[in-house]
Amino acid sequence: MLFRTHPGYDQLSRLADGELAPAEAMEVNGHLAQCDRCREEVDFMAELRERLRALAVPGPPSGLLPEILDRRESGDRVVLPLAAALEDTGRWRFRKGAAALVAVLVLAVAAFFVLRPQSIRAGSTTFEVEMREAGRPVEVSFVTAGGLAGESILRVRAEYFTFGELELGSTESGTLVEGVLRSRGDGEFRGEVLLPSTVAYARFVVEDYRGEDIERDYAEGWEYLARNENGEPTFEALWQRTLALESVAPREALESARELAERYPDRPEGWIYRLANEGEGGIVRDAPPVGAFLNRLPPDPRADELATIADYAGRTGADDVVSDLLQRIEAIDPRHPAVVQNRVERILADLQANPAQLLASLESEWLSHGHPDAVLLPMGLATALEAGATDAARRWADRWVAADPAANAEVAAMLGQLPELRPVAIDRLRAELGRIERPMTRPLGKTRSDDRRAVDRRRAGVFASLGHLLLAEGELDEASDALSRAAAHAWDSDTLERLVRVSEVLGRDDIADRYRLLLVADPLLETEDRHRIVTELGLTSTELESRVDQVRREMIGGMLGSTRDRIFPSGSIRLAAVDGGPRDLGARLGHAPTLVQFWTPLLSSSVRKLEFLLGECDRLTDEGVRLIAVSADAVGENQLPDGHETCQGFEILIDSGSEARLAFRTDVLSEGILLDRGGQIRARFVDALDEVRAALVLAAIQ
Amino acid sequence: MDPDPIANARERQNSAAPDPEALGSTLERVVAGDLGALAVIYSGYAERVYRLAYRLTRSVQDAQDVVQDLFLALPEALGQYRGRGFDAWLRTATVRVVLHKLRHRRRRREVALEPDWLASRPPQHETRLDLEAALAALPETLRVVVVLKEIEGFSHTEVGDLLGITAAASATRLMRAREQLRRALD
Repeated sequence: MLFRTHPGYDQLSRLADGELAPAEAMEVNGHLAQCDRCREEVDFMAELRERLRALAVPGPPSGLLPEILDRRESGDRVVLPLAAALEDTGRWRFRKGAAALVAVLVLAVAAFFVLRPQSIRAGSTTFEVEMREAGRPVEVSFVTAGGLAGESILRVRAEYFTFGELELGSTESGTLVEGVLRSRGDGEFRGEVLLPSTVAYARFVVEDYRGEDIERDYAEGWEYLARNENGEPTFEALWQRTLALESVAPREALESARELAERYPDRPEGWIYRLANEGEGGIVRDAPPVGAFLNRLPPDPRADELATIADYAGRTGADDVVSDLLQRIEAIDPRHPAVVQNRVERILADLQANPAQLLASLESEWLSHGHPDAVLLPMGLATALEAGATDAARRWADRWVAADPAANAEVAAMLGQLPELRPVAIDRLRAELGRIERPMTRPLGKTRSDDRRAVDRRRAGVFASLGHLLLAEGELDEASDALSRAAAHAWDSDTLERLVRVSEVLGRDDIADRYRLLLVADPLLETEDRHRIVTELGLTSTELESRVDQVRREMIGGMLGSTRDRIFPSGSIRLAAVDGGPRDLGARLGHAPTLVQFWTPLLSSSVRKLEFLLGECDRLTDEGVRLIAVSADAVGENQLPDGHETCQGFEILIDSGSEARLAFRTDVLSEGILLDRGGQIRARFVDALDEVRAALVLAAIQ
Repeated sequence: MDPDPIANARERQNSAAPDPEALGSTLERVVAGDLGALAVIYSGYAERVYRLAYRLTRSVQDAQDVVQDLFLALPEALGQYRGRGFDAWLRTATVRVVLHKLRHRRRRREVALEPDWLASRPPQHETRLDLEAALAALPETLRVVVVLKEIEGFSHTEVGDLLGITAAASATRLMRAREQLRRALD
């Protein structure tokens, strides 16, 4: 039977749900075949379902799991209402009494278990590793009087390096393994971690199971070094130690290199490290002549042995020896990295004026002696882009990413320079986002929060690049999406400016104004840009000041990130001096927001960061922020302007009465910590721009 | 040597959910009080629990509370799990916790996150923003049915069981919700 009139809305609704009986469905479908209006209704319902399912929903915040585990551990319990739910009808009323009783029981249980026994034993922290038998798990014994003493389970993480070919300047990280330490009471923990029998060097940290509170030390007790029959650390152990600590504890790395040079004088590696890192211009008075190492070479030296000596020769000015050694290396292995690098440098020097010829030479080099070299691949891509050779650029990009997947984002940014390659670059950046989303191995000594912040920064960078390219392609919708995600993860005025423009074009002036306010609230915005944007906003000065203040108060939480009492406990802050004995840093803090910047002259990146902060001292002074630059090394007279200072120190301790906990070490890659007017630590920073921005905003709103 | 639960849990966190064979043993360990196993289950299922809770409550804070309560209570609540279809069981449990909360919650003003999150989304997607707003504007009794039926895929019978209404009543509520959404979006 066909409908003479239209089916009811409920029939159409049930048809869309697949809930009509077959005969009835056939009738309704017959009507739809001839009725645009009803068909449109059903189509809308189907489309609505798709659109509802496509609505974006935020994911859970990352800090929930640790809190849940903590509460379970504390004895918190919750009773779920998993009995069949009832509507709030008469039937429900008499169940309310039962629910109230359950609630009372839950509270009683929670109160009983909420107090955890605390027993902290006075004494030092010790860490012992015993490898009883090759191939067997290593036993770990850990005793602490610190903040982890009250835990029932801890995690020991180790990074190890095995015997094998060692490359100078290798940036390969070791292998990470973990083990569980179980409490024996009174701050003592025991457990095991599996290290291979070929381990040359391993270092350890101990952390809570949430991965947020870490105890670490680079003294010998927290490391494992393979030793010879005389009980001395082997060459491999010391060399791996030097490389492993280079970027984490540069002072320790240098000491390791010195020990290496002293114990193994017939090996140049220790000297090479010292030449690169010690003394002005890398000149080391006691460096042996290169001939001392050449004379100790075996009859048939390996290419790597020759390359190491060639490196040493280069650093000591023996260029003629370098040439000779490179010829010998090429005869053994024409594809050795040292040889490839030398050839590439010659190519670049000879043909710089002609990108097309240069590109051809690099292509020939790759085809003849292709090696995933740190110089050849980026130069190949850069040269192809300069020559406008899009196919060649894609080839070099593929080669580079195949050799180093971590370079994908950098490769994409380079490809995006050519309009024809923007779609390729966009695809690569989207792939990079997928790669970032996958869990990455957390570096040793980094908390989960540190790791998440690092991932957020990477993600922000990729979104910003993606947004920029999409904008260039005229994909405004997607560009706006990418740029807004970039802005959500990290502060970047370029991204915010682009968002202002995109929002204007899309007719969302309210959103554009929101981004303008964010820009104006940035204390680091250039004056000219500030004037322009303030004019665009068209607010009175009173309105502007009020809204900027409001935005800054909203911003500061995100800038400071999440802080936890266990990381930044309250208490007086003391600086442990190099010569021992803590001194009260609190007396220096006064009543201003304070940036305490750790730095070391041993790392150029650290020195550059301090130089940047020096450049910002006037701005900091204007806003009432004090800078204290702390280094474990003697740095001479205070070179900071009035109101700021340098001091020598090694560790920041938080003294909260019953315990003094290590908070920061000054050789931990130039971190900055921000303290508010009350002297409380509010955040840690790795990026100098972020810390200055946060300090200025904090000063403005406090 | 006993297997290291936390190390194993860390490995499994890299996958979306425990494979079915491992799930049973993992759940047993959760019941036994193994925090590492609880972390594994959380890693596999917390996101879908959160998203369902958020869709139903439209509140970030409430969704977080639901996730916390559910996983905090999971070792004990698994006593009611009959060993088949954990995903479906967990979804049903989530809905019941949410409905319980909806009945008893006092409206709290959402601070920062939700408005900012909405504001930061692409402004050019006018239709998505309107649909979001239209959905949020539905009466709670209708919105819950929309979420359970249209987004989560429960049948009207299942929705009825969850809400303590008949399947026909569920279908009627959905129809009314569609009418209102259509009017809001036209």
